[in-house]
Amino acid sequence: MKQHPILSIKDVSYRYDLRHEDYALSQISLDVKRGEWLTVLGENGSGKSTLARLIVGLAEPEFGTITFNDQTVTQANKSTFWEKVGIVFQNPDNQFIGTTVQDDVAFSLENLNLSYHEMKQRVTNALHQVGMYKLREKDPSQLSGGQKQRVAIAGVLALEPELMIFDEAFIMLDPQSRTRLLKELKLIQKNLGLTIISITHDHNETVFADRLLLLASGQIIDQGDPRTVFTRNRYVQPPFAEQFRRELVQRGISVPDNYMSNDELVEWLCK
Amino acid sequence: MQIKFDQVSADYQLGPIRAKNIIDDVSLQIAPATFTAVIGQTGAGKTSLLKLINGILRPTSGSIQVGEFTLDHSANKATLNQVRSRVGMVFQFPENQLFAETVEADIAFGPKNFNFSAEEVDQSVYRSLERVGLDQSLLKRSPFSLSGGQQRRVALAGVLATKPDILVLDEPGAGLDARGKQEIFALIKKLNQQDRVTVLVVTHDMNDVAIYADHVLLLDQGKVITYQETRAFFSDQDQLTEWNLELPDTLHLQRQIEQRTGINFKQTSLTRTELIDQLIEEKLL
Repeated sequence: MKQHPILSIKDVSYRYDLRHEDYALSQISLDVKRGEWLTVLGENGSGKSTLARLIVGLAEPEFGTITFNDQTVTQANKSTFWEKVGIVFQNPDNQFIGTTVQDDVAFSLENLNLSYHEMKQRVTNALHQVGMYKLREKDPSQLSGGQKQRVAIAGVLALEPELMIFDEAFIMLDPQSRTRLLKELKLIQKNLGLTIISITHDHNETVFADRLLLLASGQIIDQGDPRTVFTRNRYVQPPFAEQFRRELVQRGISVPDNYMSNDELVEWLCK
Repeated sequence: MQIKFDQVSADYQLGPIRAKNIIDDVSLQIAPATFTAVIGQTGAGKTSLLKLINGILRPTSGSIQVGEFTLDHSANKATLNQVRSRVGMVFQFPENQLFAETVEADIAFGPKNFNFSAEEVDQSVYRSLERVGLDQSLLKRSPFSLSGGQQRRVALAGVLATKPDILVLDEPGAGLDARGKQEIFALIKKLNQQDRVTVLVVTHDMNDVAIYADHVLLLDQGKVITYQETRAFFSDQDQLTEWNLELPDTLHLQRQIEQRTGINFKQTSLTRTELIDQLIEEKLL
């Protein structure tokens, strides 16, 4: 039997200003499988962030429906989904409440009626996952931008959501913490079946995705596994290895005529 | 224009809170028309260093020579003003500082402030708009009606309009998509090479450092860890490991190939073209 998608978006349209015809999203349809990592790519203004806001109920579609676990998300019931769906935005400064890092992470759990032990366990786990356990006693306002963002992510991880949405949440991180965190998230996705939707500009991040979705002017223009999408859409900047393969082609060197991952490229060059 | 730091220390005062020695006894000489990437972790003092060059932050001790001007603890307002007219500073997300009703008025604000004549203001507005690659048809538009990438160019044009000899920029690529970022860096490189503007750029992205910068300045806790030419900087693998720095994509690929084949390439590749040349030379292609 076919598994129901965790998230289903049907014919969704949205505009910020009802007086104008410019739709930020128009007639978007999309199913997200449980346990999938979907990366959404698109230029500034393509509608990526609008999509994220609609999924968590921060905005309501003008047309169409969004269902999460077979239940339609409405303004009346949206808060019942918030234990299951976590979102992290680009700027962490707007998301802080606690006086220490661990209090802040624990805050998100206060409404869940967990035992003290369970709560502590979850906070500890989440802080380890983002590499911030050592700084748990610090005041969040004293942290660097990248550290704050990791705490914000820990706050959502501690909720143990079924779906996590990252809206350009990794851009404040230095490249090393970013790679480390992405690898950690990949493990959580694989081991615990977490569903991830990541909205990004970072072409190197797409190597973690199971599926890419390309947005332009509020419409889905292509989707598929990274290999297929980057092959079909030459104008979208691919990960570094594929950029390098294309440069080899341009230099007139005979290279296999298909998308290459980093490992495949190294393998081919060292043959 | 040359920049010379002589035993400079600076504190950061934010309301009642004073952060001690955010810049700690820095001596440094930056040659005219160079392109320096300023790197280091958050809190290392990167932004403060830029602010010292622009006179926004004054040293608590030591002095900074910017061209013929000297900035020290007691530098007067006239000197600061003159330095600021020579040093253009582009803050993080500079588009947040756009304010005027039209693109033209926004770009003209700087030169008017520095007492350019009406004719000079007009000239510099057109010239800097062209420099950042924006069309003149945008002059009468509101800056807020433009895309993020265009807004950043307008902000940059506003800084260029004062014809600075030195340009200091704090993460000019942050938040832009891949193409927008490439365009901004190519533009800065062009200013550096054609107009001989001395450039200091704060960035986290080692690919930008490798491709665009000719010098690297690494800061940690307000101190200069190293100031080197870019190729030399990336060549010393042991040092990079010690400093916990990531490799640029091209060099990372080179090191992977070297490890697999056991061949040590002659040069540290900073660009894809350089790496391809070396692969051909080593008969791997």
